[in-house]
Amino acid sequence: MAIVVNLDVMLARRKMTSGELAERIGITQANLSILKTGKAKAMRFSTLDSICRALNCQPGDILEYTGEEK
Amino acid sequence: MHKKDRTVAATKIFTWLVLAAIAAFLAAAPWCVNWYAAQRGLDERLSGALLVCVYAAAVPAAAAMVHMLLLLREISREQVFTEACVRHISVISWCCLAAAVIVGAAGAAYLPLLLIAGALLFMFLITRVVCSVMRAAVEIKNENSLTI
Repeated sequence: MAIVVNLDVMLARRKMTSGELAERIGITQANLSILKTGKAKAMRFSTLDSICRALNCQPGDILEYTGEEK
Repeated sequence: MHKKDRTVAATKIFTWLVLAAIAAFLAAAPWCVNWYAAQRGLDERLSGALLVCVYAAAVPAAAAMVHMLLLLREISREQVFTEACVRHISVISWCCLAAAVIVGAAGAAYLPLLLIAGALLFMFLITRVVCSVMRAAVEIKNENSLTI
C-alpha cells in the first residue's frame, strides 16, 4: 500500500498516547495499532474525522502518499 | 435454543444418521446387492460390479459426511466465514464429483446408475458455486476486518 499513516508523529506533537487517542475516537487499541502499523486496507471518513478532531490536525498531516508499494 | 442453533443441531443429527446408515449399508452390502440383483434378474457379473461400485462410492460419501460434520462444528462456533469452512465445502464438492465418476462408470454396465451419477454431478456443481461464494465472502470479511 502506497498510503502511509503517520499517526506516531502527530501523537508525539500533541503529547498523546495511542491509548488516549483510541479512547477519544472510540476505537479499540488493536484497531488503532492496525492503522499505525500500515496493515489497514481502508479507513472510514468518520474515523478520519474523529482522528483529525482529536489531534486537531488535517488529513494530510497523518496520511502520506509515498508513490511506492511498501 | 435459537432457531439457528436448532437447525445446526438437527443437521448434525441427520448427518450422523446418514454416516451410520452408510456404515450399516456397507456391512449389509453383499446381501442387499444380491437381493436387488435377484429382484431385477441381474447376472452375477453385474451384481459384482454393483457391489464394487457401492464400496468404492462409500469412501467419498463418508468423507463428505465427515467434512459436513466439521463444517457444522465451525458454524456452531460462529466461525463461518473462514478458510477452514471454504476448505470443507471444497472437499465435499470433490467428494460429490468422485462419487459421480464412480457411479457413472458403473452406469456403463447398469444404466439406471447414470441417473444417480447425474444427480451427484449436479450436487458437485452446486457445491462448487457455494464454495466460490464463500471464498468471496471470506475475502470481503477479511477486508472489512482491516477497515478502521
